[in-house]
Amino acid sequence: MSNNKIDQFFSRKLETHSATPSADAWSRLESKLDKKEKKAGFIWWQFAAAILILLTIVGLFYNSLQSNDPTIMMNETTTLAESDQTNKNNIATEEEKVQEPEEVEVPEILIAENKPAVSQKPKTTVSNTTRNVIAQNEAKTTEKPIEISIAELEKVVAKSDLEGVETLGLVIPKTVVKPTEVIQVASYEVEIYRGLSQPSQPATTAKAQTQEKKNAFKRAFEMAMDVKNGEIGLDDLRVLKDDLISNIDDDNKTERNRKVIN
Amino acid sequence: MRLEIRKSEQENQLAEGCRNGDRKSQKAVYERYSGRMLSLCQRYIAQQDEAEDIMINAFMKIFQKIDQYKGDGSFEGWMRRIVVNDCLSHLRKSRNMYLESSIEKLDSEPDLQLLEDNLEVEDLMRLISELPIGYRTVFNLYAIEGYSHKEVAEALNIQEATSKSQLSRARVLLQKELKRLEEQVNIKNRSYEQQ
Repeated sequence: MSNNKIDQFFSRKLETHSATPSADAWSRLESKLDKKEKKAGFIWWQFAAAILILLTIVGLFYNSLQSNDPTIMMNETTTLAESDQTNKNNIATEEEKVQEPEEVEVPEILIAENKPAVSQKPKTTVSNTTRNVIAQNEAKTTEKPIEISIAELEKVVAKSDLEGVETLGLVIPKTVVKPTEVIQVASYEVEIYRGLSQPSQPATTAKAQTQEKKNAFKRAFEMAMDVKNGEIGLDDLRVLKDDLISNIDDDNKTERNRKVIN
Repeated sequence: MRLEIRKSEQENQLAEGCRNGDRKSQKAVYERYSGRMLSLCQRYIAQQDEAEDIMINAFMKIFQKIDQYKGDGSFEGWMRRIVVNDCLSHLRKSRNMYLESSIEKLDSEPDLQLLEDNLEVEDLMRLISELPIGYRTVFNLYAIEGYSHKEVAEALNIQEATSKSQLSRARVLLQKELKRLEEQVNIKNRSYEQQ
């Protein structure tokens, strides 16, 4: 505190002095306070909305992952339960085949690997993929001697079920990963599908149906993409998938029945 | 002493209410301190409406920054610092704050006892508001708010020497004005005596 007389004189008089604010001063302050609170509230609201949107996106992404996972899981369990070592090998090579379909060497190895397995156990299941691969290979490499007859293979093929399911499950993630090979893989799988559902039919009539199956497959793929984009529910896709599986199962059952009758 | 304790208790209660954003507490604080804070603003800012705008904005700041008041020291003292800083930041916008004109010292000092009995606070407020802006600011900070020259220099971003010279010039001008007022008071008193 200053010792100066003038300072003390003013300080004593003015320190506790009170002026009168204008009548509307408080309402001006209050409206400012309200504005600030509203602004703060609005910011919180925006924040909440942003989080909600983020969660929705994450949820959809997670769901689309989930929609792929169960089919793969199911196929793994079914094939593991039903197949022996030969089939496991087939799955591995089949995956290779899906990734690099232009490679010709892979099917050859397949044949070599499958031959002893089939001859040792004529009744064990051989994947349809193998059959097709062999069939394709046969056409390409005619000079190579093939010890197993087509009829014999077809018998084995008829016995194997659920392989079609597996290829179905496989094709969805693969096509998503490698879009350039979609058509190749699709036609490849469709052929397998044809072979499964109507194995006894001649190739000429089967070829006519290939286009139909191709379209069905295309639809499934488009649906899967829609799910990725969050446009349709997963239920629709599941229903479609179930229908396809049940068709395959039905075909296999009639196949078996026919065999029993024969 | 007991009164002071009771006062600080009330201050703490009001501060706590404001901390919770309670509008009633805010209004109570405003009603209790707005007059003193407006008077403070008027000492720094000559324009009445400007002073009130600064006071309102300072209260906004007080309610927003209430969490920074920890309860040590008086609530009013904490508020005054905020209001003073707001006034200073407003004044910083004006240029050529510090006049260095030479003012000759007065021969005789005013009779402060006589003036204290006869002058209204409003007269003193007017004297201060009529001071040049630099003198006024330094005088307010040093003489009334109790800042040291070092604090004044830091607050206004000036040299301590400038603060000292501005203060001494402010005092001389105020003395001059007080002397003039003293004469008026004397004339008035004499006329009363004659009647």
